[in-house]
Amino acid sequence: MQYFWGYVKIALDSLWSNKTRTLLTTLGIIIGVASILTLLGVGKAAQDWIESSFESFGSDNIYILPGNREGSFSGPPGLTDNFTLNEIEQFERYSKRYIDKATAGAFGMYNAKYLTKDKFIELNSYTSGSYIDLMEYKADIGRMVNQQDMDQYKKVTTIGPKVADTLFEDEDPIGKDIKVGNVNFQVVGVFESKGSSSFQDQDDVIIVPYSAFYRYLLKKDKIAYIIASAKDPELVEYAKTEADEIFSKIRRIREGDDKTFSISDAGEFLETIQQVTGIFTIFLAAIAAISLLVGGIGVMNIMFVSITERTKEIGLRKSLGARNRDILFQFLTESIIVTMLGGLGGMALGVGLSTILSKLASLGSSIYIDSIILAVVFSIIIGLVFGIYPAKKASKLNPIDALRYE
Amino acid sequence: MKLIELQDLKKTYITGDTSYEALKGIDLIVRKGDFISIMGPSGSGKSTMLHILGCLDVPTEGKYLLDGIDIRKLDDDELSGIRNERIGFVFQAFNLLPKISVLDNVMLPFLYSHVSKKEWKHRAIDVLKKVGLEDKLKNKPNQLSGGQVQRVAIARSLVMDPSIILADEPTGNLDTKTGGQVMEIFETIHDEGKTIVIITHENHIAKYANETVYLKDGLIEDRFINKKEMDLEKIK
Repeated sequence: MQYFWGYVKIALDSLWSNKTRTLLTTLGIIIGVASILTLLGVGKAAQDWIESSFESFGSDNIYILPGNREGSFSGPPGLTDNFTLNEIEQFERYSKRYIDKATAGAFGMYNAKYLTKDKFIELNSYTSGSYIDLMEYKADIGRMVNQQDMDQYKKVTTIGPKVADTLFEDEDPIGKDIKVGNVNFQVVGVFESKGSSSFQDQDDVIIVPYSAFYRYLLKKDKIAYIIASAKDPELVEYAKTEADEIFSKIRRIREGDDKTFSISDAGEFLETIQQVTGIFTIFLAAIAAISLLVGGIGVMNIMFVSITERTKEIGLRKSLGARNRDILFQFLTESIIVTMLGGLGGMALGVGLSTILSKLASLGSSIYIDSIILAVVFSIIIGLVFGIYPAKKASKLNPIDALRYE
Repeated sequence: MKLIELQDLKKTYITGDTSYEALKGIDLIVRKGDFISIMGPSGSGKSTMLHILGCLDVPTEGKYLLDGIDIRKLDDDELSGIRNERIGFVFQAFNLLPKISVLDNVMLPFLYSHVSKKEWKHRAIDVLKKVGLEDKLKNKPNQLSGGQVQRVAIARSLVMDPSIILADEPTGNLDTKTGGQVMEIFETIHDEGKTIVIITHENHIAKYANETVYLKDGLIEDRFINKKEMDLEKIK
């Protein structure tokens, strides 16, 4: 241990004199580390993307969905069961204790047309003006569809910035009519961008009053979901219990009976999805780790070859005063340098690949300092783990036998 | 002054059920400044004896004192320290590392020593001067002749300023003339006060030493003083 750089020099000399071999061995580690980093990077980017998507529509909200959804994923809300306006009115009347604001809504996919231009959009409709707070909407130009519009069954709409861009380009959309299905809605505003990171592109949306939506377009009373907020983020659980009690009463469900609605909060959604993507990422990374394992075995193999080739050198070094641990350290340094080079190369490749992949999938940046540290530390560990056995074997060689080795 | 003292030294190798007694009780004293050659037929135990003297192997029985240190009481690391500081090896097969320079080869023992790095280079150059190779510092061993390579090896054995030089058939891979030149270097070193023990099976090489010890079947059979001047005349 006395002359650390001495060992590094010996290792570098030896690696340099077998350039092709070193390169090929390193390549195994490079591929392993790069694939792990890429998968972890893309996985992390996906998780961040999901998280920010949730943040863009209020993560403290609770959701009440029609139908019993426990234990299964039964498709999008509103497909098999729905709420009615009457139920929403009752809900709003009774929910005063922990629930602060509430709105209900329905949505649909439609073609929106203005003059010659058209675009496939998602129509979101709400039963009350509190959606503006609940969904954190802000008007960029004009105004948001409000309570008054809803009370008066007005055929008005606030459109998303992307809808405005496509249908109106440079024209001022305010006051113009767009045709959705076969109904004309007058544009009263454009809302501020909700950002591109979301499940659906939330800027490709138009907002209309539910009253007008169901009277003119849907032709029946079919509410897909209720969104509500608790009076305080701390009270989310209480608010959920309150909503559960009220809906049980409205739908006359006795204790022990199956519920015909379900209540959850955004946090739960987020957690579940994060868990799924997390497990998936780890699963993929574990597969990638196998390639690193194979790379590590390659290092071990080459270390054995190197030690066999240099048996005489080991004997000589011992006769010149090298202790067992000097020999151990010499070969360990060599294997660690190989895996560290592989780790650094793999890091560069992995960061590059995950950046490109994330860009292609339009996810956020995926360079994470902790993955880089992980890669370097991991490659050093690989060097240690796969280097220790050959190095130990080398250090235990009997100097006389080693010197006689031909 | 006694440098080495062997008392009833025995070495038995055990492989499986069979045991082989390589040394059967050696008593030998090497004084500081001695130049001793060990001769004997193969299987006589001369290599075993040199390995034990060089602390590469440990005796099974008996006593080995080097500079007053009881070698049998030392552990592996301490033996490595003794090899590093007190013993200089010269091998028949030279054993230089082929991929590093002459200078680096000579500096190799420093890597395992407490010698300050500042001293490495000038001490290495000093001993290379002694063997007449100060102009070959940057050369790789394969650019040198056999005799030059063995001179580098001698320089390496001297660089730690050891108590004793142990040479195992140092001229065995060299022709007579080059072998003679190498032996002359040993003579010079001896004249400067170094203690040297060499193994050889060639009479004319053995006679460079002041004293020859004959081994046979693991025992010292004979020991006599060489009449050096006369023998040298013969060779020339």
